[in-house]
Amino acid sequence: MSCHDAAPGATLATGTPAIALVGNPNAGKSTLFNTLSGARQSVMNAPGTTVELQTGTWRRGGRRLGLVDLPGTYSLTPRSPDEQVAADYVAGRGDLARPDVAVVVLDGSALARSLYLLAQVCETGTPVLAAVTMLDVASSRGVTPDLDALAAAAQVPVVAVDPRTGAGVEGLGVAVEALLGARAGTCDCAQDETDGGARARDDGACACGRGCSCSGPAVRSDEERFAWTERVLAAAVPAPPAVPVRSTSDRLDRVLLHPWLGVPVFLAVMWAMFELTTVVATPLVDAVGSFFSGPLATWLHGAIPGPAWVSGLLVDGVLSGVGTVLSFVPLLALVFVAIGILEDSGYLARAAFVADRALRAIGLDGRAMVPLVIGFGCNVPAMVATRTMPDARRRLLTGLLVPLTSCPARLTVYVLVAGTFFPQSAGTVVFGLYVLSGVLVILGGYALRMTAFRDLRQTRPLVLALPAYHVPRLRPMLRSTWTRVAAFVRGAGGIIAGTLVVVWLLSAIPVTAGHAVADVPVHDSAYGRVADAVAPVLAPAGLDDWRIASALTTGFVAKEVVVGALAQSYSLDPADAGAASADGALGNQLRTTLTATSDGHATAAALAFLVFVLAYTPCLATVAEQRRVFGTRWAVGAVGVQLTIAWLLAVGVFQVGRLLT
Amino acid sequence: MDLRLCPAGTSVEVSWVELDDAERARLRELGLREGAVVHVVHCSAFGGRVIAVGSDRLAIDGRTCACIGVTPLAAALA
Repeated sequence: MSCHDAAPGATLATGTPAIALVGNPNAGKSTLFNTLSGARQSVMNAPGTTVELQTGTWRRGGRRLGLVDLPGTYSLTPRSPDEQVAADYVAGRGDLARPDVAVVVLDGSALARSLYLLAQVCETGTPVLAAVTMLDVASSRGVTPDLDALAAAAQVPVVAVDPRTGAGVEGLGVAVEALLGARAGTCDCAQDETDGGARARDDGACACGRGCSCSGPAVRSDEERFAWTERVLAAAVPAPPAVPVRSTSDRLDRVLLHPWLGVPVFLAVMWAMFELTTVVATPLVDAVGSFFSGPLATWLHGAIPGPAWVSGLLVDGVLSGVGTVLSFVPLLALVFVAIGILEDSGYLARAAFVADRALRAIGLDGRAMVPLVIGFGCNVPAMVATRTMPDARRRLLTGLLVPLTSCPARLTVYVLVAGTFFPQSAGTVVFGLYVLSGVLVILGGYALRMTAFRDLRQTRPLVLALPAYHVPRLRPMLRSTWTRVAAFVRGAGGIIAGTLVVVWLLSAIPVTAGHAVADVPVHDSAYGRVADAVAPVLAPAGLDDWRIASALTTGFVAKEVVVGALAQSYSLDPADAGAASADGALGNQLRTTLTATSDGHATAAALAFLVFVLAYTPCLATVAEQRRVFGTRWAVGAVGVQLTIAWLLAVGVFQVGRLLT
Repeated sequence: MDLRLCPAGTSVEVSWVELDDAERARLRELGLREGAVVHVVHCSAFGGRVIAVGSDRLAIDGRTCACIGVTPLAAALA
C-alpha cells in the first residue's frame, strides 16, 4: 500500500479534477472504480483515521481525471468512521477538499435506499451525477427503471453503467465532462444552508437567486427526503411488481440461508477454502523455498568473493529472508483470491447473517464477521475493517479477538508440522486448527464479555442489504490480489528479511572466548544464548529446545519467519548440518528435535507447538495497528493475554496428549 | 404481530418500529418505514427474516424482527 496518511488531494495530480464515487455498500462502486482506473490505483488513509480511501486516475483521451472511491454508506448521517469520512469528503468538511463532481452510484435493484443517499449528496452543493448499476439484477427481479424519467424527476444527469463489462463507461465520461464544463455556474448553496441561509426549492430549481445550475432536491428533513425519494421512485418505476419476483439469488438463498442448512453450508465453504489453500499451496511454497535454499544458495556461496562471513551474511541471512518472503507469495495469493471470491460472489454478506447468532453470544453482531473473516486473510486489514462497526465498544472487542483468527502466515507452520507428523491427515489437522481458531474467538469473546465488556447490551439490530449473487470476475480479482500481495512483500517483507538478517548476525556474534565472528558454534553465539534462556519456559509444553524457542521468539515479529528461522537454525547448527544435508527435510529435523524434547511424545509436542503458534501474538504489524486504533494499554494487555493463553493451551495439549500417546 | 412471526411468502405493512432513534432512522433509510409494504422472502435461523423492499433484499436478525410490528396483507410470491 502506498500514500497512507496522505490527504486525497496529495495523491491526485495538481489541477486534476477530483471525481468522488459515492454509493451504498455493494452498489458496484468499487467495481466501477476498478474499471475506470485500471491499474492506476493507490491506497491512502483519510486524514487522522484508519479509514482507507482508494484513489486512481481515469484517463479519457488526453485528459486525466482523479478518482476517489469513498467507503460505502447508506446515508450522509454517519454512524461509523467510514461513513463519517464519506460524508465529510462529499461535503468538503475538515481537511478534505470538496470533489469537483460526485458520481452517486445507484443500485438499480435497490433504488429506494440509493435515492435517499442521492438526495443527501445533492444537498451538499457538490455537482452530482447518478450512475445506475445492477440493472440486470433489477430486471431479474421484475423491475426496469426508466432512467429518463429518473433524471427528470431527480433533476440530475443519469447514465446507465455496467461496471463489470464496462458498458456505459463512455457515456459516463461524457456526462462527467459536461458537468465539469458547466461547473462554473454552480453555487455553494449547502454552505448557505449551514450558515443559516434560507434555500427553498420545491421544483428542483435552485432558489439561491444567483442563477446557478444546482440541481436536485433541497430537502431539509428526513420526512421531506423520504417524500422526495418516493416521488422520484414512482417516476422511475411507475409499475413495480405487486409481489417480488423470485430471482436466482432468492433461490440460492433458500438453501444458503436455510434455518438448518445455512450453518453447515457456511462451515463447508470455509473448510473448502482452506483445504484448497493447503493442498494447492504446499507444493508451490515448497518449490519456491527449495529454489532459494537449494541451487541459488549453492551457486551464490561459490560466486560471492571475499571472506566467508560475507557470503554467509548474504546467502544465509539476506537470501534466506528474501526466499522466505517470496515463498509466501503463492500461499497469500490463493487466500486473497479465495476471500475475493467470497466477497465478489455476494456470499460474504450471507456469511455475516448466518454467523450473527454465534457472534451475539459473545457480545458482537453479524457485522463483526467481516473483520473476523478478513482476519483469516491477514490480521492487519482485519484490524482496519473493525472501523466499519458503528459501536466503539464492540469495535474494541472485535479488535481484541482478531489476533485469534488464524492468518495465512501461521498456515506455513501448520503445513510444515502437520505434513511431518500427520502426513495422512494433514488437511484435517490444518482444518482443525482453523476450527480451534474459531472456538478461541468465541471463548475469548465470551470471557471478555463476562469481564471487561459487561456493559455491552445485545440490542443493536443487524440489518444487512443482500447483494445479488454474481459470478466472480477473474481479472479485477487478480489485480486486487496482486496489489495486496505486493503490499505484503513491500511491508511485511522488509520486516521479515530484516529479522532474519538480525537472527543471522546474532548467530554470528560469539559470546565466549576463542571464536571468530561468523565462525562460532550456535550455542556460543548471542542467538543461541537468548534462545537457551527462553527454552526452559516451554518445557511443560514439551518444547524445551533452543531452536524452537528462537523460532517462536522471532515469530513475535512476524509469523512468516517461524519456518525460516527454524530452517536457518538447523542449517547453522554444526551438530545438525550433516543430517540436514543428508535428507534435506526440515520436517525430519523437527521430528528428531521434538522426540528428544518430549521424551518420545513427539506427536503431542507437535500439537502443542501448533496450538502455541495459533494462539500467541500474530505479528508486530498487528500489534502496531491495535495500538494505533485502541491505544497502548489495550495493545500491551492483549499481547500479555495472548502469550499467557498460548502457553496454557500448549501445556494443556502436551500434557493431555502425552497421556494418550 | 411482529415480523418474526411472519412466514415466508407473506406481504405485510410495517406498522411500528420499536428501536432507539438512531437505529430506527437507519431502518427508515433502508426503506423499513411505517406504512411501507414489504414481503417476507425467507425465514432463517433464530427468527431471522429476509425481506423484499421493492426489488431490494434485506436480511434482519430475529431480535430486530421482534421490534418491527406489521400488518399482514397477503400471502403470495411470484
